Amino acid sequence: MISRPDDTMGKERIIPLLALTFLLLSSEATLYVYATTTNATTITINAQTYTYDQIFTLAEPRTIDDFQGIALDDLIKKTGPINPETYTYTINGADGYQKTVKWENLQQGLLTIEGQVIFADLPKAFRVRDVIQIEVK
Amino acid sequence: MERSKLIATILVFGSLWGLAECIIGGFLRDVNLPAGAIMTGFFAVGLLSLSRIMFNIRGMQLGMGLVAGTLRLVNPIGGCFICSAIAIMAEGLLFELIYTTLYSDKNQIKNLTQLTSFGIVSAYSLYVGGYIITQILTPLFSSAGFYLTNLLVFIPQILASGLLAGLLGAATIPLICKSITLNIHIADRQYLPTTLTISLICWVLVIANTLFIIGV
Repeated sequence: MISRPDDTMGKERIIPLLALTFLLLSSEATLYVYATTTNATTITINAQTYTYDQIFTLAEPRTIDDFQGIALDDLIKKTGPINPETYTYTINGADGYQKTVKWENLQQGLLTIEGQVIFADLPKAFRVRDVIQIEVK
Repeated sequence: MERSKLIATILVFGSLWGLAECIIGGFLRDVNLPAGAIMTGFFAVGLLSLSRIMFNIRGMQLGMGLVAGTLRLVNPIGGCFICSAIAIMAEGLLFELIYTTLYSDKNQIKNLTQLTSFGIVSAYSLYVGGYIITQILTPLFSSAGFYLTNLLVFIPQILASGLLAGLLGAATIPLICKSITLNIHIADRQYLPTTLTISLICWVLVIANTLFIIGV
């Protein structure tokens, strides 16, 4: 039903080989992800490790839409560097997902008790889950 | 194919795809199923292949992606709708590139191995490619900006999550080819009214769903 490749013998072999390669690649990647995913029991901010209970007593609360948590800018002020507005911040999830944001974004962001960051001014793609680290760069 | 018929055909296939993304995709996300992989491996690959096999017109699938992506933009609910819209448009473009690269417009293949393999290749490429393009373009449209390292460290997860899409694609393409033999025919005189009505229904359903969920 699908049009046959021009170079019949060549492409007829290439497409199943390509399919097999993709399956092997994705299977290896799945094993790698399974082996490297960690649990978000602590969070490292600016090279200092805290428990979630600790940071929730440090920073002031914030609400964005239906989400409640602690203000990310206040958290950084209390755990991060002097002149925080001069840095960028890379937020890492336990599954390897990471997003880099600016100080202006942190001023409209919060961290929930479940370990997810929410930003009022950024698309949902920036909602990193199970946050384990905030790098200051 | 006449220009008006071509546009109506692109519109109806794109609208059906967009409707599926908004309504079924939304439901899958609500019940915590891997909506992206299921939508790509089944609906996207299915509708793109079906339209390509039936009409064999270059550029049609790109048009379908633009229509479906636009429909997703008018349904800003569930997950990152900007990401979804970008991914859908990218999938239309990628399918065009893959099909044009792998196949000419001359003969036909009925071999199950070829069909299954094409299903894996197209679904996996669409899902992984769409995901990567989304990860680049979405931050570019935001105040945070794009950082290459954010993408590179997440590549293993993207490659891994494409496995389900690839496996679904392997089943979808043979099913689509089987369904073509049903030979559904619409009379010439009824083609435009039928396709335009179906498209309109899709858009009305998506807009009504949006209004219902946001409580207007």
